[in-house]
Amino acid sequence: MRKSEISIELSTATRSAHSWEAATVAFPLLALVGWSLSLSSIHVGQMSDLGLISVMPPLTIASLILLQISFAIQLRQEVLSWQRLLLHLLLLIFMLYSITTLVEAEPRFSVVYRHAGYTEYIMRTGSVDPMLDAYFNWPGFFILAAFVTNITGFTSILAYAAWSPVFLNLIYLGPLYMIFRSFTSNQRHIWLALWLFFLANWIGQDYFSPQGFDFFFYLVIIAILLTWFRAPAGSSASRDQGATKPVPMPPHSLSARSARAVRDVFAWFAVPDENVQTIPQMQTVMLLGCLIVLFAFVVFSHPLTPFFTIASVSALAYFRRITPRWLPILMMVMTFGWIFFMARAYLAGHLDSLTGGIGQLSGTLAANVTDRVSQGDAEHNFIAAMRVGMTLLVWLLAAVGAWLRLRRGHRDASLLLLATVPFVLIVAQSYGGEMLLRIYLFTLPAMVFFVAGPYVSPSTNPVRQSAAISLLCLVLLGGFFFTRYGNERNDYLTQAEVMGVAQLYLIAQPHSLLIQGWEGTPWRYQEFESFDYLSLDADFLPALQQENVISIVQYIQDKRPPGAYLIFTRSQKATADSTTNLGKGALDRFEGVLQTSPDFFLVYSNEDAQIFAYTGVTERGTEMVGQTFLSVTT
Amino acid sequence: MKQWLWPVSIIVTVLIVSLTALWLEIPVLQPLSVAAFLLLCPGMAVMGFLRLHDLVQTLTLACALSLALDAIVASALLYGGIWSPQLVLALLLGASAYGACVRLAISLREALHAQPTRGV
Repeated sequence: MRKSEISIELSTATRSAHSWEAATVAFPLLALVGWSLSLSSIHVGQMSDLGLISVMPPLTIASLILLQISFAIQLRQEVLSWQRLLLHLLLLIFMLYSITTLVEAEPRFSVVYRHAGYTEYIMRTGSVDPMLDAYFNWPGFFILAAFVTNITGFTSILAYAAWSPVFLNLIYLGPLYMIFRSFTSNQRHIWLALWLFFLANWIGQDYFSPQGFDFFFYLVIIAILLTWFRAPAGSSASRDQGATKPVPMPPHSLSARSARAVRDVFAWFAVPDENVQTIPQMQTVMLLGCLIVLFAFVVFSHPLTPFFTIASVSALAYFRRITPRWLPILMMVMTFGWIFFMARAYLAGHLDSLTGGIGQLSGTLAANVTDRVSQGDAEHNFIAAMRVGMTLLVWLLAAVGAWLRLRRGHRDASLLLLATVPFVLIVAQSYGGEMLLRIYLFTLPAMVFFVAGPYVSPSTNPVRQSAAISLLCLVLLGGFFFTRYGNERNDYLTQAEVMGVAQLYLIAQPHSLLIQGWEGTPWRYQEFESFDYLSLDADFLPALQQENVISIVQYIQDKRPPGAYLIFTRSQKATADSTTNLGKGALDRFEGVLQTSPDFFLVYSNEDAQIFAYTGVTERGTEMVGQTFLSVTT
Repeated sequence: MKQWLWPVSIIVTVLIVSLTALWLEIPVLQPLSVAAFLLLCPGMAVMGFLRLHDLVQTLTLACALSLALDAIVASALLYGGIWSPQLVLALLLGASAYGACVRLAISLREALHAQPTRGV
């Protein structure tokens, strides 16, 4: 071959390499452009009970599919480019978690408005009142929110709360990367596990909430322990691994065999890691100090997260995976110290509900699983079943991945503990039917690491591996559309609904009784302590079922508040229709009864919110309602 | 990464935030500069003493520690009955600037001690 031919061939190869490199950047950007253009075609008002997927244009879905395939191709490049992988990951987080913020007019989830109310209370009064609400017994998150909102010049968290999922998932990235890197140096494995985490994080705890925020701190605490505090071989923690003396028993008895099995399991879990990073003592002390500060914040900002942290750290310490082994004891002292000294007000009124669930496994499982898939319309049940199915799929794939890694000689003892220990908490509490969701979240980092394992083996054909990764990502993405945004028709809030509630606060005088038709009202975001709140579904369900207003009237007459109002909104009706067996239009029918009742009259109405005032209260109240009615209607 | 870069960045941010949030209250700059400061600087002032050489580790710990310190200082004042967001910010600014200055002084001293040995 002549010199000129060689140089032509080389330049052609260089050109094609350059164009390929350009394409790998162009694909994710193309996906972003397509996704952005498609957003204007999403009309949330036309959603069915299948959620956001029912109004998603094909271009939105195609853009996200393109991003999955582009990532899978990127992951199989000979030389990995962390910049391009990071670009993909950032786009994935933005496209998956900001979509509702961009297509909906108001922050989703009624609970966010309640959280706005707690923050507003602190901003207004500069204090917390533990007797007022359970959350004020663990107010760290709300104090921080009040401080940040005030000092940045906002008047309410509602100005920025809708961006919480994007923000929280972005800050989860760092600790997740640290955790995965403490188990493997294979960058493909780390990046795929990160990718899968965001595809499988459908449970939606990342809204503006203490639990979503505290999950970040949980991840950082675990990342610190696994990066700098792993027990090295020969340390005092690992030296005494065989020190437990066997209790003498007949060699072939069942108890002897069981004891031996337990000992073997313990010994397997307690084998120390190799190549453990050692750091100077000064650094150790400082890192430990940082960890304690982080946990201190967790302790006083959420009731449940400290227990997940303690469970994971205790397991790691008990099996001698980490040092210092006294850390779980310190964490328990901090947690119970806060509960007994600072959350006493809550403890006094809720001891039964806190301890009543201990050991009630079947009741907890019923509240967490069966109740969710057996009530409501067919589409809602399909979404509930999809959630159970995707959860089981992730756990199954993780089990297979863990087994395959074990066969290849990887001893992921710490990761196995992190994947299994949070399940212990289901024995203690149903947590309002949400415990399984929380367990899913806290086990997810370990689970996705195991899921990713088989797909990044260096021995597999790269093309086949890319195809397998694409397929896995597409399955999880398909599930994500249904699982994360499947209840969106219930969760999203319109401007008219929020305006309706604002009108309610204008109409109702302080200490009035406010009754919602069903859960899902965007209220309590201002002066929440000045009103009494009730819900027909929780407090007057028989009256609602029998379309009978007498018991409500009797209740109001007994309480004699200065005013009483019933509010019905679009999201209440959507929730009642899809999640219960009351039948479609139950709240509309009840509204019809109220309209014919002499005890109530309609004081405000827009397309998504209706407010009824009770007419028969004190004279002062009636007069006030009449005046407000005149001002609203004129 | 140069040892002096983070302390200098913190000091510059402290100055910007002091100007925009506490004195001038510039509408657009205030939320951006204050949010950036609260997200990273108090923790980063501590991280300077830890001397981690990994950017992911440094940023992750700085972010977590910053948010925790913001919350703990704000809560301490609230429970102490002297709730004042401006005072919380001033304390955090002061602590961050102090940490950054100390770290900068250590870096300078180390640089001065290291210089003569280079020519040997």
